Amino acid sequence: MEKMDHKANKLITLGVVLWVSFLSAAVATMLFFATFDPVDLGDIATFPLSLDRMGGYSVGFLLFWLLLAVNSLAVIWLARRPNEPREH
Amino acid sequence: MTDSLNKIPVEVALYESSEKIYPRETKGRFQRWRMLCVYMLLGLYYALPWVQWGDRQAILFDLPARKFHIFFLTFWPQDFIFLTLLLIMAGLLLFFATALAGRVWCGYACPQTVWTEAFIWMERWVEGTRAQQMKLTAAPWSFTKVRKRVTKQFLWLTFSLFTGLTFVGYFQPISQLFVDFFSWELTGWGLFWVLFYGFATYGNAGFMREQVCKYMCPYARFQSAMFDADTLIVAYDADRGEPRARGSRRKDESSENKGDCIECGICVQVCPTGIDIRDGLQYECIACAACIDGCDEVMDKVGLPRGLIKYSTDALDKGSEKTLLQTLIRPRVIIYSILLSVIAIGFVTALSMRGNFLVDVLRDRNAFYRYSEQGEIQNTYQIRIMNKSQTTQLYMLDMRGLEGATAVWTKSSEPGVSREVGAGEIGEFSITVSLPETADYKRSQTIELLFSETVGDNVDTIVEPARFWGPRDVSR
Repeated sequence: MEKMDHKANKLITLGVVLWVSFLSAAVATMLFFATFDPVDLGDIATFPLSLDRMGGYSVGFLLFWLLLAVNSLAVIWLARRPNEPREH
Repeated sequence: MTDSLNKIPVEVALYESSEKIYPRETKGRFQRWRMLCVYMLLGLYYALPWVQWGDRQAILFDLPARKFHIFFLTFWPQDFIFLTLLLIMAGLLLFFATALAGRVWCGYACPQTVWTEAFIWMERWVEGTRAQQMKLTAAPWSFTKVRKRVTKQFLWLTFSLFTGLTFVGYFQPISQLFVDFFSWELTGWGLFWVLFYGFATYGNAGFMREQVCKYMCPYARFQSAMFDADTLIVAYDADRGEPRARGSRRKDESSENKGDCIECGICVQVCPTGIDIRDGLQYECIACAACIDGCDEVMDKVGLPRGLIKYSTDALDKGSEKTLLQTLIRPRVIIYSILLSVIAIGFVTALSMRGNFLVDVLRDRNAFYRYSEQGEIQNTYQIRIMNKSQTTQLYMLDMRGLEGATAVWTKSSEPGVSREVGAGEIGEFSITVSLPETADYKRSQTIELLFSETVGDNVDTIVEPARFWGPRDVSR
């Protein structure tokens, strides 16, 4: 039972991370693409990048989401202090 | 319930492994309101993209074209401030509603609640009442169980897919989207987002349900900051209800010590988040008032007055004598409403004063100046005119700021000719400013280019500054 709770707890943490980074990514996407047109960005990219707008928005959003989720997970992982009791 | 706010239980573990909650169906006045809200909100969601406005979809967030259409309004990326203001107003409205009436948003309007409710209805149609659902879960796999489960999943998945399709229908023309989808021709990002949103609906409303409110919702965490003693909450009248008595103890006439709560447990069974409201105000409570309706029904049956569980405020519970008006008018409410009205007035004013077109002027970077065949000094500029209005517009060009110079659309012979830009479109043109060699000029000077609308009663002019280059400083 204890073990179950621990596993479920981890799952909830992951859920929270995904959800919060989803919301932040949505805001970031709106701000970013209200300022920059993905088609223009594709034109000035340093490597060949052909983006239509829907693709640009979608890839942009998913990248923001991934970045924010990885960042949040890293923060959670590192913010756990060594003197806290270990969970097994 | 004298100390409801002090009785908030401290949750020791942040998470306890959750068991599926089977909320019992209730009927009553608040549940009728909730049904009405669900029908209205879901109805709006599924119907709105089908509404036409002129020859286009009334509400279309046309991302590929970078234009948002909302009925007679069209928003461009340059209008981002309006979206920001709109979001701020929505936030303030939520604060305002929370201060007044507690978590009405959660109970009646939140998409999570609304879609969960719809999914619960489907579950009830297929699997029956709470008791039947629990029995079915406990039962070994049989043909009936498989049939019911498959039917339920089929309904859920179909509904989710439809929800996902409708969602994408806000971003690309919905009739074409449906045609593409049902002829298996929808591909790429459109299909991806249909499946994404559909899956999110299925997961959130089918499985996670109240856990979204308990573990994931930021509003559920900070809504208590907007609460005070006069905020409407769902409360159990402990003074009247306690001590609880049921069965033989209730029938025992000699026993003085019995409250009105008959401990039937209905309030717990109907709760979609699985709490016991009699333990006091809890952050899991989404104020759906199912327990109020459940309890009222029981009170009617046993012949006791309604309102053992009711909408109340902490102050009222403590015997406050305030009138409704006194409860409504308090600093928190006044401040929220002032802020809200100021921003709303600003929003409407700014929206009505919003210009109908925008102009970008870019100098031709290839050459500062050149000479025409007639020996005039010429500068050329690239012009982008964004017609934000709903009608085709003709634009006239003029200039000032340099004696003797004239501005014309390139490749047009004389001034006074206008250029056309369709409704909601961007026109790209080039213009030439010419100055006779004999005039006075500097190596570089600022001129002003004037663009004027010519169609309609309310014509605007935009003045854009630009640099004009000559070969050297000349004054005669």
